[in-house]
Amino acid sequence: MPMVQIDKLVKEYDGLLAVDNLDLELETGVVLGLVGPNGAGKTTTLRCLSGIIPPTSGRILVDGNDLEKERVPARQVLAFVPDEPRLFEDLTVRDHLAVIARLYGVADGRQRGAELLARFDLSDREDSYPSELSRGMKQKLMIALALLHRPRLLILDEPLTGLDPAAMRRMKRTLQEMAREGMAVMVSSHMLHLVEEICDDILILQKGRKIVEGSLAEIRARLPELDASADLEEIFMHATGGDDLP
Amino acid sequence: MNRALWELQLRSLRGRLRRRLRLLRKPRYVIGLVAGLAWMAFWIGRPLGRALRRSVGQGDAGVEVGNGIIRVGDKSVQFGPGALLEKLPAGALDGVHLLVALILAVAICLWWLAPWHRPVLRLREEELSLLLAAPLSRRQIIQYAILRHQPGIIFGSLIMSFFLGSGPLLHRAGFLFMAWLFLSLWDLHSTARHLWHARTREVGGMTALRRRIGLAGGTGLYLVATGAALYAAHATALAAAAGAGDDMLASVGNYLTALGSSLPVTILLAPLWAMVAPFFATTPMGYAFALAAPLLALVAHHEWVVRTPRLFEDAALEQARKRGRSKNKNRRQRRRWKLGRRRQPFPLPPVGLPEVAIVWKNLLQVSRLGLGTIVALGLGGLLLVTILPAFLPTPTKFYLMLALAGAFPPAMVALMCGVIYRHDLRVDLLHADILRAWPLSGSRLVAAEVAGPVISATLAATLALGVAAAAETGHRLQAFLAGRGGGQSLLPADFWTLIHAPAPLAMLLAAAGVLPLVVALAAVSSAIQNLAVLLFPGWLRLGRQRRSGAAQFGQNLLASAVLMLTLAIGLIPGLLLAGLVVGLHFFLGLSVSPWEWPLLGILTALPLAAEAAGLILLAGRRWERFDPSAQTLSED
Repeated sequence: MPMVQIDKLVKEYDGLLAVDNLDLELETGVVLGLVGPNGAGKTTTLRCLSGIIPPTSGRILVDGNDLEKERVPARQVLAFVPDEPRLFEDLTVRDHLAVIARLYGVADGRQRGAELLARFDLSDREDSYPSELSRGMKQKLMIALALLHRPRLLILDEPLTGLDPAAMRRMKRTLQEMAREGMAVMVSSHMLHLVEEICDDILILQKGRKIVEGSLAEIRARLPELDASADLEEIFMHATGGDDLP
Repeated sequence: MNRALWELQLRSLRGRLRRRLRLLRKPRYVIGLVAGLAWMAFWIGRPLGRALRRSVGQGDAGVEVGNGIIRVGDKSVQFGPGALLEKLPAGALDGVHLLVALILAVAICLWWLAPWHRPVLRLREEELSLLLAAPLSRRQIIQYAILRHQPGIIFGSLIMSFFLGSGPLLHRAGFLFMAWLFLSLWDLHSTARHLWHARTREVGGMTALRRRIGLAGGTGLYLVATGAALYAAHATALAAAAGAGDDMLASVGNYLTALGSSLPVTILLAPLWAMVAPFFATTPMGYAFALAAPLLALVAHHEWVVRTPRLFEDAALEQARKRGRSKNKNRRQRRRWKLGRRRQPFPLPPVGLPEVAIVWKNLLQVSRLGLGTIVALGLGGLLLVTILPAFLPTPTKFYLMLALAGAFPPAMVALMCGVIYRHDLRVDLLHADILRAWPLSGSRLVAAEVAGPVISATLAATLALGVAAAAETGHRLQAFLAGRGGGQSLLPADFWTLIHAPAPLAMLLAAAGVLPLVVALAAVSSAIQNLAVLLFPGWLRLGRQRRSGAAQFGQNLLASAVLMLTLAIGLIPGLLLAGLVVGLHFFLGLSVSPWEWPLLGILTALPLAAEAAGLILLAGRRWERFDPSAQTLSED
């Protein structure tokens, strides 16, 4: 059973079609990169998949649970890191960890929280409020909070924005380790070299539609007009029509 | 100021206006605007219209509130400074003028001595990055920053003249102009003070120390001299006050008049006296002459501020960044004390009901004091209120006032729980993208959101009940200590005869009757607000944002009215049930025994609790279908 199964997902905003009949399956242990030009529907797809916004139509199964009908078990296994780190202004870093641990029932929440803070170099910021953290630190805290309950599906929207090079490197390693341990990871980014580096599969979206999906090798095979050594940037430009631009 | 900067101001103003007008495409803003304008017309337009008619010699019957007067037909009651001045003896105006100058002098001195100061020029991040990089002089940028304060100053002047101005339209116009002048002067003086402190910090070392010593010495000397002059004039003034006999107002008038006639006092307070002189002018000519000093001071202050050598750029940028970060958050960003950051309302173990985490989080947003500490502090305070006044010659009036202060709040706090305590979905909806991913059903999440305000309201109501009980107990204790026996109650003796119960037991039973009601009422009140914010997020204020503008004001007004009406309807079943029980007692010729109070409370609370549960379930269902992208995030 795939970790994520999306059937004919449609999302409309005031008549604007943000996601158009998207079908997708994501197996455990796989890192899927979601790329596409601005307005392609990447964030909307991720927000639908994490249960933040309800789809207009279609069905999303997470670990076999319908995200709409079996809300709690479906959400128990997933974690979402939004593109903008939105934290509670009146809660310290420690308070955030305590709330999330309780919400997901993480028995070793304190210990795991301390480990995650150490991993993201935030150990000395336990008593800081979000307003006292830089954007990068907030982003790291969001990721630490997402990992606290050992999710089986991790959804990240532009996760590396604002991170310093060392944190970026650590983040990449963490994602790969998580996948190796059996977590399904879905990550959207405009950093194509990053996606190429850490993702097993790529999904290119344009105007809410799936343009192409598969591993880099599979995609290359499907696009014979491209060079056999074409990197993701070339594939992306070709698939989205960016090549045609002057 | 540079023409481009005027252009920027005008275009910004025009843009803001256009944005507001564009909002009117949405019906809810049109409705809000109509309601807001109607309200303003009723409270501001009518009194102004009357003043206009009076100034052309016409008057009419009816009710007028405002302008320091309440008038019904021909009868009127004056309040505010106008009323006071009218009752003071002739010549006391100079004394009042002097008193105002004295208050200003003391306030300004103390303010200068205060070590804290805010960042100097409050410009937005985008303005700073544009202006600091542009070929503009520092003077021009500072002028631009000062000009940005003007809308607030003009609004403040209008409010001041509405409440304090009186008489025909020309008088009001004079008052309005002076109010504007005074507030502008105050603003410039405040900016100059902040610049001075910032500059002192900037220069540092011995120079800063010298500046600070100079300031402390100068202001201290001035205050001591003024105090000494007042003390010297005090004996004469006191003798003059005694001449007025028992008339307190006349005594005060005479005292002030005598103070005003002291030359040293007059000389020392002259600068401040001159700044407010137009407010006290009695003739148009006097007003015109009196304007000269504040106008000159305004020009001097302007030059003082724009010629500052202070390097304001870094501080302004830092402040702009901070304000940008907290745009949707608390306007008056709470000071983050280093101590007490580990305090919690109660310990939160990692395993257990997940709803408790939300309650914990929401209570944390109100206070980091532990619930145990709050209870201990409350009990300590109540004990103090009970015991301390009993040993003093405290009048019975004090106990009566204390009892009233404790008896009314429980009902108010419970009914207004949804309005007073906002640490629920109205704040959390701005974090909808976090909350939606949490593994919690809608109704459980809403129940947790409602619980925070209910706990806060219940604690407040319990404390208030405690105050009422402390008043009764303290009064009895005082009588006991005075050897009059311990049975002297604040309530009539008939009451105790009727209920046949000792006072401590009766108080406990009353609390047991009131508290379930408080909890149920608070739950209904808060649940209504939480359901409303999910149904009509655009109509309610989210987070700690303050919404300005007539349309938003009207929306707030309408939303509050509708929610209050809903609450009133929600109370009917509980009240009917309570009325039925009391009516039955009355019909059978029985009185409601104190032992029945808790039962009556629970009985009345039951339908309310059922309503709250229903509202929470509804809100929970709504939450599960709630689309933050379409509802909240697309709001203006």
